[in-house]
Amino acid sequence: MTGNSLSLVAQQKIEEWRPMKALIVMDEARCGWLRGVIQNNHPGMMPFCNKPLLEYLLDFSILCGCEQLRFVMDEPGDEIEDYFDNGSKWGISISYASSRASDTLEDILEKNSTFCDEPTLIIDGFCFIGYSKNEDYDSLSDHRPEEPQLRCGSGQMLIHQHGEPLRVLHGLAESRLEVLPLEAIGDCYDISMHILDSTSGEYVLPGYNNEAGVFIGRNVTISKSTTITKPVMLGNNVQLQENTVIGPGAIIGSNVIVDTGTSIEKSIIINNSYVGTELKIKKKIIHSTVAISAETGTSIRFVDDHLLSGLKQCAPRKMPRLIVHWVLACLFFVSGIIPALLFQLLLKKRETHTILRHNGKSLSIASLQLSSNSLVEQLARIFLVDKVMLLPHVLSGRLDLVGNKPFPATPDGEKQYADFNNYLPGIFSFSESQSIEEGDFQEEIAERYFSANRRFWGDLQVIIKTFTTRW
Amino acid sequence: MNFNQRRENDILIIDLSGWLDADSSDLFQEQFDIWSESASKFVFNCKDLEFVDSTGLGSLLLGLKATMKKDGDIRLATVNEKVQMFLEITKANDIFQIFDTVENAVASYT
Repeated sequence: MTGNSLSLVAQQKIEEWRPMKALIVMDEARCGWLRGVIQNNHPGMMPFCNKPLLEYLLDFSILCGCEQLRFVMDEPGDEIEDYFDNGSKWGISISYASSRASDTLEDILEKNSTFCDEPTLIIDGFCFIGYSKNEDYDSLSDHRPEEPQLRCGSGQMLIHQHGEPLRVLHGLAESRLEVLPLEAIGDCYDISMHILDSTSGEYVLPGYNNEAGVFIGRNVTISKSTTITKPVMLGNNVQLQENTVIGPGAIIGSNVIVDTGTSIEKSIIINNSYVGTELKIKKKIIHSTVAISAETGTSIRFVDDHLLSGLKQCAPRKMPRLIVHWVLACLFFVSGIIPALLFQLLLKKRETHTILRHNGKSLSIASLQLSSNSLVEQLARIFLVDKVMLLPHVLSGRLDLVGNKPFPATPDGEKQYADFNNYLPGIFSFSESQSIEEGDFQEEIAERYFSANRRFWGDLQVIIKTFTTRW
Repeated sequence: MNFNQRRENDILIIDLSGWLDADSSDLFQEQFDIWSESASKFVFNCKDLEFVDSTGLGSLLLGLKATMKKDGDIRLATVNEKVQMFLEITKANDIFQIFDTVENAVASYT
């Protein structure tokens, strides 16, 4: 064969076996232990240096040339699909499939045979892939029996090609590649610290990284008296109060407050946590009220909120929508304030009550309680006078124009608030536009549906529907 | 919260068992006042102490403050891992002397 023919054959060979698809299989039997330690999240979303485990696996799949990826789980979590969606953010097409706890890998491949019709990289189990974004994994699929197999106690990496038996992949002599077990919380801790200390350059990590060993997210507030020693990683919306000592070896997630005088060293603070004053966190993993020893895995739950507690994540208020709501509120206010004031003089039915804002704080509002008793009240309802009177709260940013029906600032209301993700109170609500009676169980369903499916045009439809319903 | 006590010379050894928390701290303080009448040097055997919260820790600190006024001390022995972690995080392990065994704690007074 000539040199040109060899290179053509080699090129063809690469194209033949280079995996175009990836299948990530994570079964509860191997990852479920983490749920008992870090609750409220699917184990696949366990952060390693503020990046979910599954995202590392996704990055590696893309590095191998995969253009389509499927997550297969026997206990999937909504948070996975919420985070990864269809993969467009990473330039890869992501799909999702379920499996049964009793399914073997062969069963899963058979059930996903349509997806796995091309060479498919399979990452099976609960493991971390140690790789480098700077290296080349084109020859991953070659059979290299002299190299160690890419498998560990809790996972393995395989290649599936039509017509060939499933094969465990082997490591590469010239490239960094290993499969690391995740069998105890200490494994997660060790890998995170190793990435922060030594291999942060091998991965795409979140945060602004202008200086080696320092990663800082968005909206981070650092007191002047805070001492930071690298390596350190801070997520988004982190507050470091006075005299805090951060690092070396501190990984702080997003939406975390570290209060006055506390030191964090060689520790991981997972998202949405509050760490109280004058505490010493060393070689620990903190998640909400739980502190876990990185060395022994022993965990304790704090009952004192002023020491350790969870922070509820506020629903994000997206700026474009806020701007549009503000403009619409201005237009309504300008056109409706004079008639509204006239109606208010006639009716004199203003009542003051307190509601909960999106961040849980109370807001006192004076509103008109309109019924259909009199012609004046009916006209006031038709012309949305009760809504116009609340527009100043929208203009000041305290309420949204279209949102959830506000919860009252009562113990019951606070309970509803704690249980309602993405609560954003507004003066127009979906349930009202659908003419669902107040207190009806359908109201809660409608509000939750609206929160989960919010769209700009949907907001406009709510306003229009409310208007037409009242007419 | 249960207590057993025994004496070794002028050191009062208290076996703590159960939870030292907001519910039991009042009882603990009452008992401690009684113990303080006859001793100022204490060893708390924490082998069966399952849980401590900030209120419980506050009670221990109050007791320590009272004994130190009489040139005494409270020393902790056989603290389990969870309580040890709590004391580390709250920096209480910098305030209390902690020993592996009751004997070592008693011996530390000599």
